[in-house]
Amino acid sequence: MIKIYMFISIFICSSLVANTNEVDTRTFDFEQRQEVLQELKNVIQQEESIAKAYEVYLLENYKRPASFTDLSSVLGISLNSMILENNSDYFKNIVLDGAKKSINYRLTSLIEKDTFLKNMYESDTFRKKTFIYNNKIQIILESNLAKNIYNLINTQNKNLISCDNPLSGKYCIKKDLTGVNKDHIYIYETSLKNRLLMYYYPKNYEKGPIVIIDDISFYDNIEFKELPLGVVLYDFEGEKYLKTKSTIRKVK
Amino acid sequence: MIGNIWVSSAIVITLVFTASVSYKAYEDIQNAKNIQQSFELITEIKELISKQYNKDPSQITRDEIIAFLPKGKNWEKILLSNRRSGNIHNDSLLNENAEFIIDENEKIKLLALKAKLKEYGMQTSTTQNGTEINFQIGMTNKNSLHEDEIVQNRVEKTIELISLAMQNSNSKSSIVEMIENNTPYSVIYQDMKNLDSESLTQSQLKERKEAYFKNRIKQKLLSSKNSRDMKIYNELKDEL
Repeated sequence: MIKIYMFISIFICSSLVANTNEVDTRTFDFEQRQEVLQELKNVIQQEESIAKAYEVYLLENYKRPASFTDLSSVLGISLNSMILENNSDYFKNIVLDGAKKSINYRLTSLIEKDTFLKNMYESDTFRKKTFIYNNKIQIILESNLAKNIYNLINTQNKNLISCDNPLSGKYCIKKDLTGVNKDHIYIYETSLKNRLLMYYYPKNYEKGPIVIIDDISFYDNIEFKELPLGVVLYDFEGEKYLKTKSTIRKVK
Repeated sequence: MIGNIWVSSAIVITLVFTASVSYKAYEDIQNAKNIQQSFELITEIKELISKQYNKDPSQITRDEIIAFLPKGKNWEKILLSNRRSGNIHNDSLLNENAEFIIDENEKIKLLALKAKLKEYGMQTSTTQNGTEINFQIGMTNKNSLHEDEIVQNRVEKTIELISLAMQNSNSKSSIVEMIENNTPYSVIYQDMKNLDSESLTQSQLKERKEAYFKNRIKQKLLSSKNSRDMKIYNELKDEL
């Protein structure tokens, strides 16, 4: 009797698998195709939302999210709820690589064999904050501040944490002594934090003022070369400078 | 008596024949009108997609048009060359690349489509696959308004790709090659001549478009207000 039940169960399971494998989106009629296309657009939209949340998280925390769970509060939706919205025959679960700023490629082989659906998923048509590269969905950061923070984190391969923490890198965060929730980004010469090269309010990064060391011999360091053109700088003595294409020029 | 029957039969046959010819003519006219209406709607949809997503209209696929259409309400009909009995697989007016396709034997449909193409002033080339004629429709002046935005988008995307390539420690030469491969030759509409009288070969034109594209990237990097782009600029300024 048990054998019969087992046989029936195996038969049912194998027919279900066979049915899934037999689905060919290329033979779908207009309405079925439109439905798959809408699902595909929704999945792209999800990836765009994740990209947006990634940027918000980076700006608020000065660190890269470790996994999708970190983004749940920004998105206002859990990973499970988001996955439930997708047809698992067509789309894989979401896996976020926070360090590399990318999401896994999510088409299953079932839908990937339809060249036109694959091309649509991989094209930039419905994407603004993401694009496909090396079989991953890469996240685009839009704001200059986010790009700057991500560049600092990437350069030292460490998130920006409090400078009071001995394990912080040479780029770190200090709370403003006079304000509430106003942070400074501190740039030291090395992670020993013996010599301070510059510091600034994150929001002042694009135009200044940025406070810099008064020893001009450090102005060839990459941190100075990577400052935006035209940004206003003041050294520790209060002298005013301007970042130009080739140098840091003192303003008389 | 026999004469009367013969006359009556002849009249009936003539009437039936006239009716069927008239119906066929009516149906042909309806099909021609439908094709012209579909052409207008599809062109408008392509314009909207092109504007909304900064996409070259000639690159828009049939799937992107289907995804753009509202659900239900028989919108499938505008994609069919025969609205009465056709379906998307055997009677589509558009192939999957969203090129118009019409059988060469359907003269009235062909004329109807050609009349619309002429009215819209669209540059068209055709290819033939058996009896099926494919129409590759070029960008109109209206569409070319977006060309600059398309180039600008390509500049921004290429900067993202450069950033990834640098993170992966790719060589400078491979990055430069990647930039050249990303040059959107077809949407750079400037003639690239230094003098009006100058005449350029295809390879000279290609090289100048690449140089123009590299320069656009350089200017964009220079005007950026973030350390990532300045890092790229410092690394590649001599190659751009």
